[in-house]
Amino acid sequence: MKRLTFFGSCLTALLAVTVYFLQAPSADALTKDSVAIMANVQEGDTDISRIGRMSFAPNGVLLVADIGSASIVAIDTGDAGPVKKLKERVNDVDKKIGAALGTDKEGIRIADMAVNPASGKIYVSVQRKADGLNAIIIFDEKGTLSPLDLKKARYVRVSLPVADQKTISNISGVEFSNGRVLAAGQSNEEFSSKIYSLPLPLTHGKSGEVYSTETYHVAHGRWETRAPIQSFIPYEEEGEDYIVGSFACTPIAKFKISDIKKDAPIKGTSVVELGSGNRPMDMFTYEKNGKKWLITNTDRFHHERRPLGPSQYWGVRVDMSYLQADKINEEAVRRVITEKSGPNGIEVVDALFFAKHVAKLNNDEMVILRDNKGALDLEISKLPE
Amino acid sequence: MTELSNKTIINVILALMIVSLCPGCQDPKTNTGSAKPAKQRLESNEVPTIDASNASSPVISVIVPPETDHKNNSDFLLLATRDPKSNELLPVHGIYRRTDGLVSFTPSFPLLPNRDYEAVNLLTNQSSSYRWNSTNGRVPVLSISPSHGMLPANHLKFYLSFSEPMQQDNPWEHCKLLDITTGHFVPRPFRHTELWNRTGDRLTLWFHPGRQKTGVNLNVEIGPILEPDHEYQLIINAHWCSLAGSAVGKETKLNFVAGQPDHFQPDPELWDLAVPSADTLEPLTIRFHEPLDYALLNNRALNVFLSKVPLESRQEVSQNGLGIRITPQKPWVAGDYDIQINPRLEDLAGNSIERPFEVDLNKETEDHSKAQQITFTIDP
Repeated sequence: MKRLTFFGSCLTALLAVTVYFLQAPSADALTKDSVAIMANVQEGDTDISRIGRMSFAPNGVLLVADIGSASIVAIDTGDAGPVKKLKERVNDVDKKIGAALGTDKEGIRIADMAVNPASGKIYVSVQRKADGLNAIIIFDEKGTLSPLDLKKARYVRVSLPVADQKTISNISGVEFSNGRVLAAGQSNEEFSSKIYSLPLPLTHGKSGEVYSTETYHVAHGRWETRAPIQSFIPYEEEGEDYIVGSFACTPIAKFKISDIKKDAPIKGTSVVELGSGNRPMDMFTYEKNGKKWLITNTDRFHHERRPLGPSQYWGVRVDMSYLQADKINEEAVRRVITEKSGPNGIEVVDALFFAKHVAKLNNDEMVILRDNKGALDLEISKLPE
Repeated sequence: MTELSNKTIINVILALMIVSLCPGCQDPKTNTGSAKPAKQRLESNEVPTIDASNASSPVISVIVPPETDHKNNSDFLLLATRDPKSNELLPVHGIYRRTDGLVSFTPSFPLLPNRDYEAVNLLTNQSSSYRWNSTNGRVPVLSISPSHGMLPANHLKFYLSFSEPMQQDNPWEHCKLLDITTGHFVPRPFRHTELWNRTGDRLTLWFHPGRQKTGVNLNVEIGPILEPDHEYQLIINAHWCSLAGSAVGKETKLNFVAGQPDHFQPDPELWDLAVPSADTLEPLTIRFHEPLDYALLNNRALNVFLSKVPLESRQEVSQNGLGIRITPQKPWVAGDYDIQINPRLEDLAGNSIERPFEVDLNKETEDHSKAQQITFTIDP
């Protein structure tokens, strides 16, 4: 009996140790190819001062732009799946988030939405206007909301370069790319933006380094001015890494990352013009039937004067082969603004009318935060074939 | 039934006794937190009890019957806001705990002051209100830069400086531009990008660059925002609130006339310098030949060196960016001084020392950069 008890205790201890090591979080969040995403991971209050854009890196690491401190916060959400996508539309999301935060829908600013492709869960970054409180609200497959605990998180914070911190007052995008995290920052004193590269692993306490650059835009082949990037995605073409960015009034331009040198200006190559009077919002790519497409949604600020459809919020898909086009800048292809599609490979996407935020779920579906007569609904929508 | 009625009466009496001890309360059902709130506990399983020791994060509890173990904690208790239009109760998010026949709830986020919440016992449908009050902060004072009577027609931005950190969402909704000459408001003149400084008390309000930049589609299609020789009024409304909850309280108006577009770069070689005497703490006064960007100037755009050693100094920029006074920490010594100029220093139309805002590529045959260093001498 005694022997059995001893054996039983040993077995229990072994089991406990095994379970501990199976459950214990690793020191760093790792990518699938075991390249660490985070190092010197902190536990506690993320202390985000003004929350902004978000996107997911691998392994449930959420990249969050903290506009107020000109830094990127990477949070290990522990949300590793499996995929359980939203089952049905959630109505009045803004009202529900507002109430969850102890206010109403007018009392919040929804900054962005991101979807964890590993779990299908939807993350909404939000700020309470009255006191500037920041939160990230998660919607699960049942549409139940819960806040991500930003006070007790595993996270790292990486600042954008010190020299720019005082003047960077908007971070218009943050994206995981090949071996790095990219961020685009806009200045509050100059009409310009810079692209920052944050090398992996994102190390708490370090600041962005490697390079920063201004971005330029050429109009009518003649007038060259600085131009801030509104949204961007990383993109690979024939082994080269690019940034595909969208400017206000919607030229889509690409920048070769290897061209970007520290403190040296770079001119993007405009490849597609979507038309004036629009402010780009989100961007992603997907593959369908062997073809690659770029999706972007925009806010048409001249909707009342010259509407394109039923809503100021609309979106388009662009055949990615246009990004490799020979015709660039002034000769870049222009969307036929009087038609729903055209030229071939550029199409208005009906599902994106009224879409205030959009994020990719997989190659078949996207998640849309949709304006519904002043309310916001959350839903999954099919991507065009 | 009689027992229930008696309990209700006792509860109401208890509630009234507690409320009567709480100064300033108007609604007998309202539990009010304050800087030093009384601990409130109603010994009842009908009306939720509220411990407001921490006014912004009260603990709300209900007693639950023992035979209800199978139920979820959220089946007993709800803290909610009421939608005034639909009258529906919308749940505030929080953490539930169950101990010794008591289910308690703590909100996940601090409750806002001066706002009504309702705690509902979901078993009895009895509710109690909760509100904690806080005085609003100081009234924010707004100043606008630049405030010249005349601005170039391709003027780019204003700085709205407040004395307090402000609520930040959609700031352009507080701003309008009236074309006094035509009597019409200029449609959507501002760039919809929120550009606040880190302390949240200064907003950079841009005119829409797509209309101010030559050759960009909006500029071509509907023209620039400002027409030369027209008179304008920038209007900031009175309702803009600070983070502490105080509104600006009065409309702020800035009148100006649009001049001709400015495509010329600032040229430091044209600046006037009033050089101080040796052994004094008199300021070096520099007067620019045109107004320069107020924020960039305040960001140490100019740095003075004596024999490559930086001068410790205090800098005062004139409100309109027309000049700067540089006062040394120690008396000036005789010698040859350099002033290094940030090449990104801009005028009001975005033309910098380094390059014009818009470069005409058809004419790009020269180096645009102006002098980034000027010198002055202090005689013995």
